[in-house]
Amino acid sequence: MTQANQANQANEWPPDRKRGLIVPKVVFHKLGQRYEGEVKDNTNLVVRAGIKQFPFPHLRYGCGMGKCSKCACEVIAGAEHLPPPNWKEDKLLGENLKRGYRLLCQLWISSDIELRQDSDEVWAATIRPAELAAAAGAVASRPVGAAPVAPAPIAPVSPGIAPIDGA
Amino acid sequence: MSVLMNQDEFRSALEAAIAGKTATKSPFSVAWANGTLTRDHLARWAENHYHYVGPFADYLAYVYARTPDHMTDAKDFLLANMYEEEIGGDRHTDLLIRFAEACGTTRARVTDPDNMSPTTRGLQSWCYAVAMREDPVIAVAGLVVGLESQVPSIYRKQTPTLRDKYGFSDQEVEFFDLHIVSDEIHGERGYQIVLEHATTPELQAKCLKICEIGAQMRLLYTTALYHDYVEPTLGAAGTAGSGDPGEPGEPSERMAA
Repeated sequence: MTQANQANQANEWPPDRKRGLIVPKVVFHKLGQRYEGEVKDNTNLVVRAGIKQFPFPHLRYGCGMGKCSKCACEVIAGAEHLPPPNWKEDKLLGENLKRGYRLLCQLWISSDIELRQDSDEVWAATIRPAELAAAAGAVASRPVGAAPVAPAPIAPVSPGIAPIDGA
Repeated sequence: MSVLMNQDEFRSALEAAIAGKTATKSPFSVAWANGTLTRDHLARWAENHYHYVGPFADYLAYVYARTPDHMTDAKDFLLANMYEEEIGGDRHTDLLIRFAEACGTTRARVTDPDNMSPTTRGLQSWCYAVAMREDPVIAVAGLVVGLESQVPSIYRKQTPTLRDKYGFSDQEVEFFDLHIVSDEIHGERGYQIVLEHATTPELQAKCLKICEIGAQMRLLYTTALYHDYVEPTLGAAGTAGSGDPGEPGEPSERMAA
């Protein structure tokens, strides 16, 4: 049995499934593994992970507020159903948006989607620099007297223990 | 005699206890959604709201300390909520102050407890009392399910209005944006704790009652904001206010767009 199936069995089916309403299917790739789950319509996957439901413990995430880029994922399929990137995604992802990346904490899923999340090492080399540049830009352009904007700290990866860090 | 509800029934009952008393029905929230408040009204809201949500991690810390060690998941959830409120990213109250400053007030005014209304002081005191005195599961029902879980639905309605009708920038309303995500996590964690640990009919009944009271308290607080700050400024034109809250020494240079 896959870990995803175990996760699904551990959790009850979303209520919408019982009512026969929209049940987006989420396929999530990480470190060469494929996980699959169904979620309620209008679901935020970081919220799900925050309450230890699929895609927990596989999804890496951080602040949950669009301030770090830890939850960034490449959208492999289903991007056409997503809303345009918001200002936080524009700011943190920059050119990575063109590569198909989105911040999962900023997305509410209402249709099937397939996602891939980079390893911590690849994330640190490809996505994180844009986040740091955005933070540095915010510091450089902030008005006199405004509080400095510090980049989000990199927390240790420890699923189930660190309060806001998934796998 | 009461019967123990299963988790689906209990969740529905909790949601029903909150429904009908949600703060979205208060006149202040309605005026906010209609775009008829001024920036001065919103500044007064921020000056009050700071003293209600500012100590939220403190409330949870009291609950955390009294939660039995065997309820490890519940303790971890509470700890995670505290961390996210304070140091997970930007401190939530700093973002509230950023919004307050955009409304024309100052950090000093926001953090000054003398600027909260008696009703806000009452809500804050109720939160502390619940956190310190109630069974931890009941406290989570009151504070997290009854109060915090309402926030996403409230802010989901209010945030577009702040941009579109009041003319605030994305950065100025970030406080509301982040709560749509983080409070949804926190609210769901609260539900999970209560659903899992309220394991007797009596405990379920007490959770339902305090949930209802929590929603009432938030409604009371929000309604009082209208009576205290908006009603006195109602103009002849029928808008929600003229912008002068009647408090001495406060800035009022920026009015609604």
